Amino acid sequence: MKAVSRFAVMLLALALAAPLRADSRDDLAAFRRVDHFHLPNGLEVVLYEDHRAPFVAINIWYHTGYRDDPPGRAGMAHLFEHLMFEGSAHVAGGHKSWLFRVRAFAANATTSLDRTRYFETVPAANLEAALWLESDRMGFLLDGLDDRALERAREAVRHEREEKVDSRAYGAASERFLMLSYPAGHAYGRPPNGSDRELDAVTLDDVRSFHKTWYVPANATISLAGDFSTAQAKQLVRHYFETLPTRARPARPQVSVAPPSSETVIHEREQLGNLTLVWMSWHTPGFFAPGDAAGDAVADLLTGGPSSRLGRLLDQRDRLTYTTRARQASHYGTSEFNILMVLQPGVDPQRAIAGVDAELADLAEKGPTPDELAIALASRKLHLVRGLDGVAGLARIADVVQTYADGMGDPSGVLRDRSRYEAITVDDVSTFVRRYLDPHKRVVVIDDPVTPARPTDVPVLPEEPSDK
Amino acid sequence: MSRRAALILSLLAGCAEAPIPLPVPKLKPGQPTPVVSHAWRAVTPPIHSEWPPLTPMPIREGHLSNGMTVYLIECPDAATVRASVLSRAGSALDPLDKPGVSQLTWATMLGGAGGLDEPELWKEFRRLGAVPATENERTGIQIGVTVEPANVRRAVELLATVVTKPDFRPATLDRMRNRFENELLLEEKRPNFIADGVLDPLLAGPQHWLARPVRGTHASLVAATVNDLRTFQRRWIAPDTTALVLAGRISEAEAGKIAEDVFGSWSGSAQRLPPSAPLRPVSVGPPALSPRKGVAQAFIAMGRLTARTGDPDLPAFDVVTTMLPRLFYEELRERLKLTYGLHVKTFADVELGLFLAYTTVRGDAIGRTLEATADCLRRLRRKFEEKSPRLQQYLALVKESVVQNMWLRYDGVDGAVLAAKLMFLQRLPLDWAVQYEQRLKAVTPDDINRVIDRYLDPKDLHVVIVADPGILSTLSLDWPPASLPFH
Repeated sequence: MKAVSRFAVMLLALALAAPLRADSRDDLAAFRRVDHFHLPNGLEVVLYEDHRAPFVAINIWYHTGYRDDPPGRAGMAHLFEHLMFEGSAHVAGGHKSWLFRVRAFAANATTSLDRTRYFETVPAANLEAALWLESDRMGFLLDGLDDRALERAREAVRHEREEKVDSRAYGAASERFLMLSYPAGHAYGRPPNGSDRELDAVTLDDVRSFHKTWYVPANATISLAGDFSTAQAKQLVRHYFETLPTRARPARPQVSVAPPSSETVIHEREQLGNLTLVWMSWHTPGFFAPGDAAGDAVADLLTGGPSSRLGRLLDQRDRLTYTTRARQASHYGTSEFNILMVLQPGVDPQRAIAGVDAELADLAEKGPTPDELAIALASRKLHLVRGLDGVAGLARIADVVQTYADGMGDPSGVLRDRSRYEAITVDDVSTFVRRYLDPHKRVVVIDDPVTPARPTDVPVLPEEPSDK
Repeated sequence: MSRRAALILSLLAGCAEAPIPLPVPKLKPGQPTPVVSHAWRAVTPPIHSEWPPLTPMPIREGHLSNGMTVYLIECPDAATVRASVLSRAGSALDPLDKPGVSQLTWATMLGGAGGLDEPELWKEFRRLGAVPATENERTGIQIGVTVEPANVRRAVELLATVVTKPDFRPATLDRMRNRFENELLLEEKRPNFIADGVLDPLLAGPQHWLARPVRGTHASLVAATVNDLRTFQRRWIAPDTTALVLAGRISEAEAGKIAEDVFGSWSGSAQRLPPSAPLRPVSVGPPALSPRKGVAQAFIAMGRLTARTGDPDLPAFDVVTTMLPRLFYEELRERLKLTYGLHVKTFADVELGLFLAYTTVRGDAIGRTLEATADCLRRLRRKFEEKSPRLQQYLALVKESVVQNMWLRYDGVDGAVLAAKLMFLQRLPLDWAVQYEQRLKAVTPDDINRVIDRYLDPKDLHVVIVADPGILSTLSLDWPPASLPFH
């Protein structure tokens, strides 16, 4: 890193000389070169060769999440995520120490409704060693597993739950929201972190059965992004994964759900937060299904900053809310459209809900203005291309190709995703609101604090004489 | 072009982007898997211990004729440009009796400028696809947006409007005050916020900026006036305390032209930055206990003052604090199962350095957690007394990882902006990271022992515990530990 002393001098000279560049480069073009294939045992492989830096991002998705928790074993998918770091047949001493040895960084795992993902970035020279590690826990985790490992993982999940759910304001409520928006027994209505009772009930046999069902090559996708030759990476992936024992990809529980036939209002008692939180939820089309992108646009129109509809009216003009957030929470099969509001102290939740309903009615009837829609969509377009640079960009790319391989069956799907947003019209928005955001067919949860904050004593000050 | 030709072309274009169906192997349920020996897997593939070189993005620095600093990080591979304004006018400059004025000033500036009210201003940013992000720190602030290269000029114009033409309408201040008031209501119930509020004055003394609430207090928010905000802006926000950072797909030529066009005519200079109140750390005593009804786990915060930027101890201290999380993780989480995680945070500024450690534990594990933490530090100290070749090897590995982490942190567009921010706020030279790398590589086991003795003796760590009153009432803790064989 060196200072360029002439830069200061050049600033002024260049200020007079520089033409503006017409820039029409396709920033996603590299996604066209993605290599995509399946091994005979069903493992899906995506390779994105990129020589920007001597590193490779590795990303493995197992197509199972807490929607697949067995009955009476809520939290199993999350528990399993922890078990995957406990070591396997040929990797003694736990995977974490091996990740350290192969110089892995940005290494972790996450569990969501639909999938569990494991990821790390390693120096390119250690790609082979990292694939050895990943293949071993995919194929031979059970051989290294014992009661002590299960107990360690169970205790880690319990602690995580106590820290992130039970000790945080609105932590318990956030977990309940999702459960309340689905009918009892629905696969999406399970508590992600489980309960102590159900976690305690998990046995090694449960773990073995879960692994044999869900952690099989045919139910996984591996993506690599970074500094390798595609031919070399193919060879390595084949070497380490092709002979792994497998079974057919398991059938997953149905997730389609009929919208509620009426509005359900549920009152919860918030133990730790001191402002009322209102959460509204509707069932909407699944990831990449027609209408999913329009849902994103509606979310941006409603709460995309202070210029958005709810930001302008509820946060600023009427001061009913401290903050509002809308989101099309996309899952496979079905999604939810959620609006979350943190109310100002002393505000009647019904006033805020009425404010939302008025805006939804307006969008349903008139739709947004073309300018409003263009503004809402601008950030979506930018979102597709940002964050792809640098070494961290490799990890993002490895995740992006997974998303599209899973959702569209095409790891290069990001190329078509742009047009999904560009095609949204004013009519699409109003149709989405009319069809899916019916105020009579939703779940509303009002999370009232046990100890509410007092209405603010902040006075509205008179105008001061300006000394501008 | 005929309609037929257009149709064919569009079909072809569609073909080019449509996914090609892949032959997915069909596996029948229950199909037997061929028996294959996997004994070969017991042989570990070669592992390369050396880190590959990571070339940092060159940062260039220039100055406009009005004294404003401009940083350029040219990254032709990036698809976007990050435009940021940095200012040294952070909350450390809040008047003693008016905490929170800095944040309120910046929020009000972003809430209305150049005749545009907040929704209008945000609409202009959003039109570019940008969402302005503000990072308020005690020693400075950053407002930044990410945009496509074609929109950089407009983005910089909007940032300049915020910085140079704030309207300071009373109604905007009133709205921001209300927003901050609600934020405080939410924050003041969070265990980490409560702990920091107790810990910071213990570390630096009540008068120092570290101890003053960045967001202000309910009383100071009520008392703040438009004139306070205007005064703050006039005193501290000027070309000589401000920098523009342009990072991403932008050329030196474009950056120069935009910077000069947009900010070149901004005039004025800030008042001379005043010296901070002296650091007056309080003597370590028993843990400070703060009740928070209803939380399931107790929140423990520990901390003390450490090496500042420029202090010769800083590289060795960075090496030690890189080892600690792993040590804590193995001991407190994996072996003793006391906690889900213990987080170590360090901060070094030209005025002060900080060591902070946070964890959440069950009520009955508080005492054991404190003991185990002290024990970890003691063992680390003993480990470095050995001076064995194995230890030298371990130290070399850790140093290499600190260096690599530093370059990874400053890699990419966002990382480079972070580096520029550090350079501007701490007045570091452009090659500081290269110099720092050399200092890190020179750290010896003796240096490690020295900094552990100097900064990580448990008896010098302040401890704050936030927990349910029921748990606190039964606590009996032996802290600070009296006689550790440290020296």
